[in-house]
Amino acid sequence: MTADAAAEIYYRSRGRAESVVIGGHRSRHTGGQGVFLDHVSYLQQPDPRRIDLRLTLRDPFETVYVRRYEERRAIALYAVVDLSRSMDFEGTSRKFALVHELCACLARSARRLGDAFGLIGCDTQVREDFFFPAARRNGLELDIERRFDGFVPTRSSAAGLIDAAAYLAGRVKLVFLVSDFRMPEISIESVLQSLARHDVVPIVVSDSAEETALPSFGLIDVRDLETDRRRMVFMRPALRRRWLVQAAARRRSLDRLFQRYGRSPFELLDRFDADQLSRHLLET
Amino acid sequence: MNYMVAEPHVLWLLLLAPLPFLVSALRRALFPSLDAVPRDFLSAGLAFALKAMAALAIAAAVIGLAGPYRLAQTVKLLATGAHVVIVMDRSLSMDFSLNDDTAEGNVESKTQLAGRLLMDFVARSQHDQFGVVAFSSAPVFVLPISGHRDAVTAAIGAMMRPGIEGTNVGLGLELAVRMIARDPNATSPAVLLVSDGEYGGAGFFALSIQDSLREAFRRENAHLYWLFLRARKGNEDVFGPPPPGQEDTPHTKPERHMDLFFKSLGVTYRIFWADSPSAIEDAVDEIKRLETRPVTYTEQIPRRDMTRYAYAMAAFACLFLLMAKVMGTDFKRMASPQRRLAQR
Repeated sequence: MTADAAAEIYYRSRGRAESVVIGGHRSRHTGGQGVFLDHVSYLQQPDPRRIDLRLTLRDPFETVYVRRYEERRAIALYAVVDLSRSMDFEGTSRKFALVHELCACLARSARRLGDAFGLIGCDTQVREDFFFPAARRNGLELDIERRFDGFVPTRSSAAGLIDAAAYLAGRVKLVFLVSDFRMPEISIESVLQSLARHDVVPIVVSDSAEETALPSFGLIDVRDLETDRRRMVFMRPALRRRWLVQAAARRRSLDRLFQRYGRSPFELLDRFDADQLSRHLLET
Repeated sequence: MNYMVAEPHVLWLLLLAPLPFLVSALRRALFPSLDAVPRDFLSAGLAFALKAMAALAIAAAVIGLAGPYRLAQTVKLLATGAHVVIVMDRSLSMDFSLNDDTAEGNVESKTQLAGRLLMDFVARSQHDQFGVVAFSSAPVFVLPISGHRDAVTAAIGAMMRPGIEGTNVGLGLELAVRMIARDPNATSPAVLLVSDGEYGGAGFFALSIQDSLREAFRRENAHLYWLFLRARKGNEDVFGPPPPGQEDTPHTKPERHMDLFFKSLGVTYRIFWADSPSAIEDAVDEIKRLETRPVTYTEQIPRRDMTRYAYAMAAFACLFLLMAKVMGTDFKRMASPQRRLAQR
């Protein structure tokens, strides 16, 4: 691993955490610890240790008040990862290596905050051998790393993403949807719809070699990683401009689509920067 | 056009020609999705052209290996010229020099002189065809009308022999005209009479020959040229009327009466009085200038090796492929593992 092996991200769930496990996120649960929330009558919360004497004495109706605190609870994080062959693209960096790095970082950060982390890998279907149910156990991070090591995507579609929702039933989770989103917008939308009850963070894995740093002249024998189709392209400045315009338009419509479903996407471009991801997560 | 190959079994390799349409020799540039690649008409055209070029390179190289050649063939060509039948006088008088001396030392006989000039004539007229008839007292069929230069020059060379007594111009001309009539290809016939006239006027054309000659010349529309080999003596007018008091008969003035007869044939007729070697050359030039009727002739084209053209085509196609290869590029790749590490 690299120097960034210890990098961690900070995140915040949007809704209130629902789980019973104490953690780091705001929750609906009230209790004796945490940030002060409000006062309730002793009848409502019969906790003699938290009786607020000053308020009780000040009250002309002689109600006994108890301080209530908002408990911080854990959430579950899931990374839903596209394992189709297009993720094997190697430009400025290997896309799949970036995904590996991201997932390792998520697992690490989740464990440090006491959250559960799970991973669902999908190609044409959900891959059972790439499915890690959310857990807080030690060593999960290593297991995930080991699974990623030497893994080469072979299937030619990411249709399984739509089935991932079935594995995410229950409480609201923070879902990182990791893909290059090289698929029809309609299927992206149906994936987002299936995950609508969760807090979805789309992570667009991209590479400047495929987006902006295109060669300006020459013959390219382009081969589709997924369908294996070939097309020769006579690259020249005019075509390059057209290509860039088309790529920018795709990005814009992707952004609009994601925003309709909650969050704007994070672009994992060329290298993984944990601080940048933290900033993005805290801002949106 | 008939083409053949020397080694047909090599042509099985032609099955490899469609290979470029199945596989690409260019660097593969892997890309996540073709949907992101803009449709481009020029690229598609170029892609097809390159594949076609590659197929052409393979096919042309295979054909080159097989050793193609074009079969020997005869082609019919059209040129201006004539089918000339040379009617050569082989009478004894032709063995003398122009001045009627014995040909000795470096003085040429009339036969030698005429033969030399005729060979030159044959050599210079590329598209004419020649037949040769010799005659003295009887005509000799030497060579039918043909375009083979070697045969013609050999036939003329065969004239360089001592002459035989007797001059029968009529029979010689008759044989020449018959040779023309028998040859369906002789569309622009001409008769070139090489003679020094009749010394002594032993016998002129029989009347029956006169009639048949007249009819035959008209039917064939054959031009007639008379190369008259004789030196001028004083102011003797061979073709003019005799001085008053003298007899004007074919016996006393045979050349005058031959001339008159030829004029009465009703076809193009010219007489060239060759009284010196240079005058003979002028006469030959004049005949060449006059004979400009269209003539079809066949030419033999030998078997021709086409291998170099096949290889040239293959090389030409390869040049295009090489350019494509040089132009070939890729999406930006990681330069080295070190850089890959540095980027993390």
